[in-house]
Amino acid sequence: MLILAHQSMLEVSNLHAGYGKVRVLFGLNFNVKGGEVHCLLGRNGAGKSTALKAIMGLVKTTTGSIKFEDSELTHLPAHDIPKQRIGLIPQGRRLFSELTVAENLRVGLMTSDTPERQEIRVFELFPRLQERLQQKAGTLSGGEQQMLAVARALCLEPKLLLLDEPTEGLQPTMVALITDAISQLKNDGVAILLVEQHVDTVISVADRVTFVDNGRTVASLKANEFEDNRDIFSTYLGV
Amino acid sequence: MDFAPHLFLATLEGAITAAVISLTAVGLSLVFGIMRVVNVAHGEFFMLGAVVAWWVASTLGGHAALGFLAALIIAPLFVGLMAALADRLVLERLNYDLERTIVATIGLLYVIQQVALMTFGPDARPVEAPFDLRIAIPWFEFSDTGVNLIWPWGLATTGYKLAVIAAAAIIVTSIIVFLKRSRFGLMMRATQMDSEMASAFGIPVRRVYCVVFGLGAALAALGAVLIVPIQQAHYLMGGDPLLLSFIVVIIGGLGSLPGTILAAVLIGMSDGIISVFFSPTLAKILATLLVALVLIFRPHGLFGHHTS
Ligand SMILES: Nc1ncnc2c1ncn2[C@@H]1O[C@H](COP(=O)(O)OP(=O)(O)OP(=O)(O)O)[C@@H](O)[C@H]1O
Ligand SMILES: [Mg+2]
Repeated sequence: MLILAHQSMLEVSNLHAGYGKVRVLFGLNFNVKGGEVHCLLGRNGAGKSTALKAIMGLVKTTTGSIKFEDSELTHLPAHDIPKQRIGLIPQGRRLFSELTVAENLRVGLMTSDTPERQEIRVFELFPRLQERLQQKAGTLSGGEQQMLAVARALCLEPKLLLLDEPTEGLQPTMVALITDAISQLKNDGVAILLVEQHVDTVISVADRVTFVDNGRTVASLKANEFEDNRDIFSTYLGV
Repeated sequence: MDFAPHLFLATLEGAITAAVISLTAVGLSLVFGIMRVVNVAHGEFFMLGAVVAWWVASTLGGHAALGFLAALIIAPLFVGLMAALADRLVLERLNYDLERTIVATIGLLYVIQQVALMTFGPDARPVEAPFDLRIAIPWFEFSDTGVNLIWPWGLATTGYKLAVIAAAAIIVTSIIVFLKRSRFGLMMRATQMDSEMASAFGIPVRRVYCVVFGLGAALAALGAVLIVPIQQAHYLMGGDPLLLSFIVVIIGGLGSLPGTILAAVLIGMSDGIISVFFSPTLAKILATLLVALVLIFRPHGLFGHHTS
């Protein structure tokens, strides 16, 4: 597959969304290009997770558009969005905790046309999961749960992966494992939209960063601009 | 008849109640567990199953077994489709909100009951059992000469009653296997655990809800078709199975299928036994009391476990 590196794959424009009467996003703009790692940064409650949920159709978009390749996602029912090959690794992992590891993966494989191939690929990336197939997901260690959350999303064979704080609560060796997986996926041509609080992790993997504050896009930077604009990071993260 | 054979007969009656209640309670439990909908109209789907069974059997005429078999297929199918329609027309529009769906299913209860009264009438009507087989049960008697086999007068059951127990066991087992092994069963379990994540992985949650509501109602109807050769169809017959199903689902632990089945056997058996020796009313009073105790001391049910 030819990846057009500079063409935007996901285009979010003037996005307004929220939970019932609670308005959270008020005009968010950013795009993700094929093969890049794009980070969303912002304080707690800025609306980063809500933005990912809006892309997945899990919260209602009131105004604005979310274009993925040629389709307008806001017109699709939520369960058709993963079929566009967009995978979500949600904040807090949200595994099906009473289901076994194998069953969690089977849910991920439901929309795949090539389930056998995807399964092999997932076990190459996380051999540890293969040893625990019959264990309930809720009984895995935190790190193993995160591996499973990543693996479950990879089962969709995603072109675009949405990762919401994948390193939250993990020890440094696990953080390294996850960042390695992100780099490897990027090399395989998967576009990645990453929400992440660790600035060091962001700087080491991101091609671009969009800063979100109070549900709006307030700034954006390319990788080569990070060093000269450390102050922007501190302004919008409060670090 | 002596006490022991009498108790044996009562236990058999209890086993029939347990068989039917396990079907209705599993239906109620699936609907509550997966959809978080408390279906107050569940007993009316049971009644509708019995009424449709009578209608099918009496319209077809011919041999009793033929009418019964047709009813066994048509009644649950019809009731399941009606429930799926109610899901689409009512529950989905209420967004499956817990409180509003309680009110809506209360409304549904009266609509179904009154429509049944207007079309079926106020009389109880029988459906003939598919086969007529009387089985005398032997008993043991100890005497000076050793153990004797005797055939006490009145100690007998029908082959049909035994078939009801076997059928319920087979149906409940199939439901468990279906949930555990099939693709749609996996969709149901994933939806039960986290409906938002289920839809993020391509599971059409609304369609799952529609099928589950239909399946729950069809199970109630199936229980009714099985019991109607023993109990007769009547437009008010939905009350007892609704009460007993709720009792069973609460005691078994909300949404827990193994707990529900165990509790159905426990409550069904004791209901049968107490009804035979004392009165059906006392059986219901004791069961309701047990629910109150369970709610106070084990709010997650006897067999349920803590899940937030
Ligand atoms: N289900 C919900 N119902 C109502 N309000 C919600 C809901 N989920 C989130 N919110 C509100 O939306 C706002 C944005 O939340 P969101 O989870 O998108 O923030 P975030 O940027 O991901 O924060 P964090 O870094 O803490 O994860 C918050 O004020 C939050 O209280
Ligand atoms: Mg968040």
